[in-house]
Amino acid sequence: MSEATVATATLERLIHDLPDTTRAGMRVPARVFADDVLWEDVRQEHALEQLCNVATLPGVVSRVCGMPDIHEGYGFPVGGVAATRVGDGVISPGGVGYDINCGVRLLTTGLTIDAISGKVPELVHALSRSIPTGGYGNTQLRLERRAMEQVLKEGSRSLVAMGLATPEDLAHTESGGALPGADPAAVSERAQERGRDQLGTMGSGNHFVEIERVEAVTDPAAARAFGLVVGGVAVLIHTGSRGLGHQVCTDYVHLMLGRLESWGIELPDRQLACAPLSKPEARRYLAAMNAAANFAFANRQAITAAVRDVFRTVLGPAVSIQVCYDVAHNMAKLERHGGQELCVHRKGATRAFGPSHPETPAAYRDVGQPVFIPGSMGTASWVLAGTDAALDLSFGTACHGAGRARSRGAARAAHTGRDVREALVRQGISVAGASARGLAEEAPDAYKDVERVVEVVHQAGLARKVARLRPIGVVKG
Amino acid sequence: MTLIAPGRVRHPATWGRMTMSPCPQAYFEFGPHVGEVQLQLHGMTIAAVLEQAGIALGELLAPAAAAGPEKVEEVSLTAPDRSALLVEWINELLYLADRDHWIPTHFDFHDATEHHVNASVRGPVLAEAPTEVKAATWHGLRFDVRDGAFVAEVVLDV
Repeated sequence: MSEATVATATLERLIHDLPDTTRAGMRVPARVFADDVLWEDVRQEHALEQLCNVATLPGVVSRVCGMPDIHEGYGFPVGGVAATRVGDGVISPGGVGYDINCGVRLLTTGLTIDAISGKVPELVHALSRSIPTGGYGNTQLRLERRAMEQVLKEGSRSLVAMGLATPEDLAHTESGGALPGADPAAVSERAQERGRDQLGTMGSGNHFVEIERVEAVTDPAAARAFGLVVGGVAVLIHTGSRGLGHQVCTDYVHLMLGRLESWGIELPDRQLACAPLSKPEARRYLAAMNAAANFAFANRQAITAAVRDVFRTVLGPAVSIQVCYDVAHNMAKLERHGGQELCVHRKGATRAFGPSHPETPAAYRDVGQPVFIPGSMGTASWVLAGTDAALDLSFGTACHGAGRARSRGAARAAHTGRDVREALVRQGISVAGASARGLAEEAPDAYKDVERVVEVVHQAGLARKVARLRPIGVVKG
Repeated sequence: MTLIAPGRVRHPATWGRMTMSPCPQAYFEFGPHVGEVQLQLHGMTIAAVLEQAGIALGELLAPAAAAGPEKVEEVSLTAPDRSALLVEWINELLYLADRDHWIPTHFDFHDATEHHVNASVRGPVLAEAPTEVKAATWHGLRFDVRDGAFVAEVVLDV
């Protein structure tokens, strides 16, 4: 579907507008992209109230947006997008979240499904042994002070000298895997302590490393550019900045809450704590957030190195694994939109720039940047391509996943971890790494229908469908 | 709908030494938040509520019985109000857990007021913890007095 063919009628059917009178204090309206089924779901919970709260932030422009996977979060909803003017707007750490630069990276392997036939359980087992999961760290890769500072300043670039990254990897990472303006001095000692042994680790919750089979291609030209062919094998990585990023958010929410009154800012939710972008506190948070984001890029890069080692050990040294792309979905970035410099908050939302955007990597200038929408453990994930139209629709943003449909407690009440594991095995999916509780909480039906979510993204023109991936091996955090 | 965690209703008298008066009504529940984990905490005193928050956190970090060398951490915090104190308390425990690979399980409160807590917290140091809790958030935060007892709600990012 070309961008020009996004019919007005279709778009209108998928847009749900909430006027700026929906609640007191809204400075702009809110817009949710959803079909009728997703819209009915989202109306049942608190995500819309949270989105309207975001619309009260000082300096917010145009409209706040909810992606098709929008669901209840804290402060911002997950799947929420808000842009504030740099001149008189604010930056909100809550609009980024605790897992700063949580994101997704796709690796292509050059292998076909036949080439790894019978080897998937061994690969999954080896990956689970090489990539620490859960709450703690990586005893094999401990960062002393100087190394930590380098990672915070240079992100993935800092791993090139260690042999854990290549220049090609950096070219295929959002912002080159290293955000400028990162300042280790803005990252507290506590945050650095928490991250010291967490490089190359997955964490838990919905984080994962999955081996995927490319099941279908819907846009051959873009798939070719992304290195995806039907029957090919890919690896999807989902994790973020771990305890370091969590502590950065904790520190700056605390700091900003203490200053709100002096800045004359009143908020409907304390988690929306924010600082005027003109204030030193905001600049310091940006420097710390960028440093934490660099840590996250480096984290996914270190996991990439572990994946390469595992595949070469199991399948032979000729295996060549390439980074297709790496995108953040918890970030605030300074970007130009409509001639204005804006701070675009994407909370559980993915940047989706089209072919003509200067930040789209050179290799993807003909098709748009890759966008990843993972489903759940047992369902498909999608690769899409960013569109130029999304700049007007959503500040160049698409959604970041299927979105949770039911709480973790409800998922545990409906399933045991054993049931979920057995169901995945019956589908031919090898599983490792997760606790029984974690598996139950991440059961496929705890999430919205990824096909429906992706169809809305595609039909609305936020991004364009390229290829569907089907999991064959899952290492769960 | 509120989901009471099966087997998770705990009485402080059986969980660590309390220097303050025992609160048999103290317990925690998991609330119905879609994206994250909401804790609903009940107790007759501020200390009892903070203790339940700590127990819930330990359960989330390591659901199975945790075994490892014991470590004691001294926690002393001040905050502008008791709800802020709850967030600071949980985030302090999370920081210590991350830093030392430690699970808080037993709580000995020396002092707990509207603005201050001083406690010794004991628990095992583990080689690994299966689950990560990122932070206590300020969203939907409540710490009220209801029918003569304290009731608190806090959303954890997990």
